[in-house]
Amino acid sequence: MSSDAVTARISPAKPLGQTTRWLGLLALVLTLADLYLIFLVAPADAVLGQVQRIFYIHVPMAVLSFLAFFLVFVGSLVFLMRRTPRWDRLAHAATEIGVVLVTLALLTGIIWARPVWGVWWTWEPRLTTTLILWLIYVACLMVRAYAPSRSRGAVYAAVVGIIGFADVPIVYYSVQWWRSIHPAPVVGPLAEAGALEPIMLAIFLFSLAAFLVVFLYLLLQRIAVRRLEDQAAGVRLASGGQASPGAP
Amino acid sequence: MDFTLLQSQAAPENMPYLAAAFVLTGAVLLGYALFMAWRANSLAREIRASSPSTELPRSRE
Repeated sequence: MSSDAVTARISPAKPLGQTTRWLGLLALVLTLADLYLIFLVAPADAVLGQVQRIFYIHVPMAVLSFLAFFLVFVGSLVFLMRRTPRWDRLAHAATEIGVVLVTLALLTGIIWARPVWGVWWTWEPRLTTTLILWLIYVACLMVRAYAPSRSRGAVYAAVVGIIGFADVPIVYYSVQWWRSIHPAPVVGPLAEAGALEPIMLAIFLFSLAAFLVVFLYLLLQRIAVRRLEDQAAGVRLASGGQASPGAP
Repeated sequence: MDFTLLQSQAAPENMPYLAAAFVLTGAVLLGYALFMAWRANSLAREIRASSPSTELPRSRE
């Protein structure tokens, strides 16, 4: 990276852009509508009962964590080829949000497993490969944070982000490749037609759309914060002060 | 998955698990969004304090 300072196009008075703020409002409205549909419209499952409603948040978060890690893969690959910070910002933001989502997918799965399977955790393929996915992307954040400089941290994180993406298809196909007690997917190539009742499918798709808007909002917000972090580091260096930890 | 409909049967013993999953998810996502909003404002304040001009030095690209 060169050390040229470029004039900012964003206002420091409004650190989050207009689009991001409107997206936040839309995310809030869709989340409230989603909660209404999940608790007041969706019927209880015949076998699992009320606790099956966790499905409407557990699966979208797992699916969107895959999307986040795909963005990490793309951002990291382009960053290594072009070395432009905007792709590193995308990869960094997507890594952090992917980790948040996969953490919540694991925790809601653990909470769901207790009443349904009788155990909080079992070392079956889907759960184990998802835990490995979580560990890979936590490691990705750690190599970025603890690298001797920001630029080297970005390169290390990009390498981990690219290699780590190999675990995403393994997680998805784990229920087919190995004997698993985890249910088969309801979206993607492994999904069976008619696996969900039409009303459940409609509410699931709405929930997926609502979580997608929440995801986009968090992603744009995190990218804006990362841009401000870069600006603040530049200002500290320009004023001769102490750069933030990990600064080049 | 093979979920099927049932309108009447509820399993009240499972309600704490259901509540825990939704409260945890809401708290984490809301907490993360609020923390990032606070961090954005905090960084913007720091940059404004360091640069008297309205044009800020942008990230080192």
